[in-house]
Order: sequence, then structure tokens, then C-alpha cells
Amino acid sequence: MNRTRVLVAALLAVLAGAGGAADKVNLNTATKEQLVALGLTESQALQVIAHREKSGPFLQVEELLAVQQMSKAAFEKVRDQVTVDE
Amino acid sequence: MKRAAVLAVLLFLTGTTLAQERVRLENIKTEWQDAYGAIVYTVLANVKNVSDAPVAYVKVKVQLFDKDGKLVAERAGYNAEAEILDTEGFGGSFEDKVKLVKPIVAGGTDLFRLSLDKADIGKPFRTTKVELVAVR
Repeated sequence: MNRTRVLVAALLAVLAGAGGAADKVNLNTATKEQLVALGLTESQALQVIAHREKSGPFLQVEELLAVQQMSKAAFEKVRDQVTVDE
Repeated sequence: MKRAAVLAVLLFLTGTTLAQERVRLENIKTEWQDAYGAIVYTVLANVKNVSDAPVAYVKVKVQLFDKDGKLVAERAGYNAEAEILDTEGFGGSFEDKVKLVKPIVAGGTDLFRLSLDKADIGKPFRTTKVELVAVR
């Protein structure tokens, strides 16, 4: 019984870990709808897309702070939900 | 409108022992800026002369590494008062230009600022290394 519990716990831990990076939204491919779903306003989402179209792919998540209309608060809201890694 | 914020920075102060004894980098910050259309990554720090003698200039190297620890970009620069040392065709030879630089007095502080153009970085990076490379 105990062994089964340990195995189930280990499996859950592995599944939880596997979901981490994969669940993040890539700033370089995200649609407006995906960015809005993260908590950005529609206007901010459009600015994120305009930024990458103008200056190329994001090189760091923190580059979001160079996007027009991106407040520190908005950045903090999404920073753990986004990535630039392929 | 420019937006800038302090970002986490992975800092290594791996300059020579001698350099560390004379100068210390403090309050290191990094930020992304939209400089009138050019997106730049800027490293800022205070350069403190902790010795009891003036320091003519400090040279600092900035390196950016990707998630696998591979070097993505590298650049070096001088403290703000000594930025003339980075210019070419102005002020004569390097030694001539050193004479034009206002030294950092003992116990004094100067700013260090170095910006890398996003286009020159080119690839995603995760960590920033800031290192003292020369103190005179």
C-alpha cells in the first residue's frame, strides 16, 4: 500500500514537472488571444506583437519591459507564464 | 515612451585580485530600453574606488550567456568619466586620452553604463556576467 502511494506521488511529481516549461506561452509565436488570456490588455498584446515584428524575436522575457504600454505590474503578472525558448 | 525596469542579473565579480582591492562594482542593474526605436539592453553599475589613491579608469566586460551557458555576446566599456577611451579618432593616442580623463578620487564613485543593441546580440540569452578587467 505504502509502495503504491509512493509510486503515485512520484508519478504526479514527474507529470507536474513535465508541465512547467511546456505550458509557457512563447512570446515569439504567441497570438493576441494567447497574450490576452495571460492577463494583458488587448492593446498591450498588440504592442507585444508589433514590437517583435519591428525589432525581431524577443531575446529575454524581460525585454517585455521595452514594449510600449507595458507596465511593471503587467509584466510581473505574465513573466512566469511566458518564455522565449523554442 | 521608454519603459525600463531593474531586472535580475547574475553577477560574477571575477576581476583580478588587485582590481578588486582597488575598485568595487555596486548596484549592478540591467534593463531593456526602447531608445527612440532602437531596442537596447543596458547594464548599469556604480564604480566605487575603495583604495586610498585615485583611479584613472576602470574597464568592465559584459558577457551574455544562453540557457546552456554558451556565450552569446560580449562587450567591454569604461566608467562614464573615461568613456572617451572608447572613442576613435578623437583625443590622440590612448595615453593622450587617459590624460583627459577625470580620475575617480579615493573613496569616490562613478557610473558605469554599457548598452548592447538588440540587433548585435541576435540570440536569446539568460544570464549576464559583469566583470572587472582593468583598473588603472
